[in-house]
This record gives sequence, structure tokens and C-alpha cells, in this order.
Amino acid sequence: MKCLHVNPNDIGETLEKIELSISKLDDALRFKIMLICEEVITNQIRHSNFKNRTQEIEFYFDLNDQNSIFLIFKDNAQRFNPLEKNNPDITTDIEDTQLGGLGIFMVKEYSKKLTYTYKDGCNILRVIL
Amino acid sequence: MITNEKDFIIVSPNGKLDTISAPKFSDELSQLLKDKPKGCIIDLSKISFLSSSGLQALLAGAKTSKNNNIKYAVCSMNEMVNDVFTLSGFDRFIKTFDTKDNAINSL
Repeated sequence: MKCLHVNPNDIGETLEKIELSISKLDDALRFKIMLICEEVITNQIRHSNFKNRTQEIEFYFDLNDQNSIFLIFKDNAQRFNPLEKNNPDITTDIEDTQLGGLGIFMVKEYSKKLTYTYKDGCNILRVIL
Repeated sequence: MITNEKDFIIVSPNGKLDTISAPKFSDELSQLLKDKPKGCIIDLSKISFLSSSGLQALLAGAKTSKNNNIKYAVCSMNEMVNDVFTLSGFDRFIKTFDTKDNAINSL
């Protein structure tokens, strides 16, 4: 399993590195991986509470079997389970539509399996797609 | 790229509508809508990637348009972009068309 250290000050750089790492996969799979990575890492950087800790965010991935891609997102922020967040209400009128939770909703939709654990002071989100 | 056709402005972003590019796109779209055109069509034919940040930018444009009686639609999404759009339920409140011409003729 490969590991990338996420630069919390430059999400663009991180996403470019991920994109480069998956360049041999087909378009549809690359699209799904990039969507999941962007949504999760953006949440980790912008919405996690790291208190006074130095942000440490790591992304692990195993692309060996295209039928079963493994992605792991790990950070040392305060415990937060994104899977407990309510899905956005997309049945409302346009004026009332709030997009909170849309990113993780998309991640759920594109994953075959999604699990959250909190271990040794770290949030760990495992994704299989 | 921005063009005008039959009182509509056609906005054609290029590349990705993601967490990096979406805020700038949203600002530019907001500026264009201040001129209150008859309609605004977002041509996504050159967009290869759409995330929730991109959806937020499209939604902001739709809200501004509705508040100012501007007709608003997106068109020409590729299969994967369209998948994100429909999965998120955005096709409920933003009109979508296969082509720009269909959008202009139908709005």
C-alpha cells in the first residue's frame, strides 16, 4: 500500500500527486477516486478540529486490483465520524437547498464499502471501490 | 469562455470544476449575472470533472438567476459529470439539456 502525506496548505498539490499516481487507471475509475479524495481531504483540511496539534493527514492507496481499490484517509484531528453526518436534503426548494454533507454523501454513493474507526488518536476512513 | 447568442450568455468553463477552480468560476458567474441577461446557459462540454464544490458554484448561479428572473440551464455534460449532477439531485432544480442549441430553443 502506497502512502502520500497531504500538505494541508496546498490541497491542489496533493490532488495533483494523487492524480499522477492513478494515471494508468481508466477514466471512470480515476473520476471516482478523485471525487472521493477531493471530498474527504477537503473535509479533513477545512472542517476537522486539530486543536493545537500539527495537522497530520495521510492518504494510503492500493490500486493493484481494479475491481477492489483500497483508499485510506488518516488524520490526527479530534474524533469525527463523517459517516454519522446526515445526508443533505435535496428534496427542498432551490432557495432552501443547503449543501452541507453533500461531499460525504457523494463519497458514500461512489464507494462499495466505507468504514470509520478511531484508533491511537487518529480518525481512519477506509474506502473500497 | 463567454459568448452571446439570442440574448443568452453562454458560459463555457474548461477543465475541472473542483475545490480549486470553483470559487473563481462562481465569482465570475456572479459578475456576469449582474448584467441580468435574458438567460444564462452553462455549457459543460469541456468540463472533465465535477465535485461538490463545482455543484455549489452551479447552485449559486441558479439561485441568483431565479431571484432575478434569469433563465438558467446547464448543458452538454459528459456521462461522468452528468452522473454527479443527477446523483446529487441537482437535476431537480436546474434544467439540463443535451446540447446548447436545445437549451436556447427550450428555455
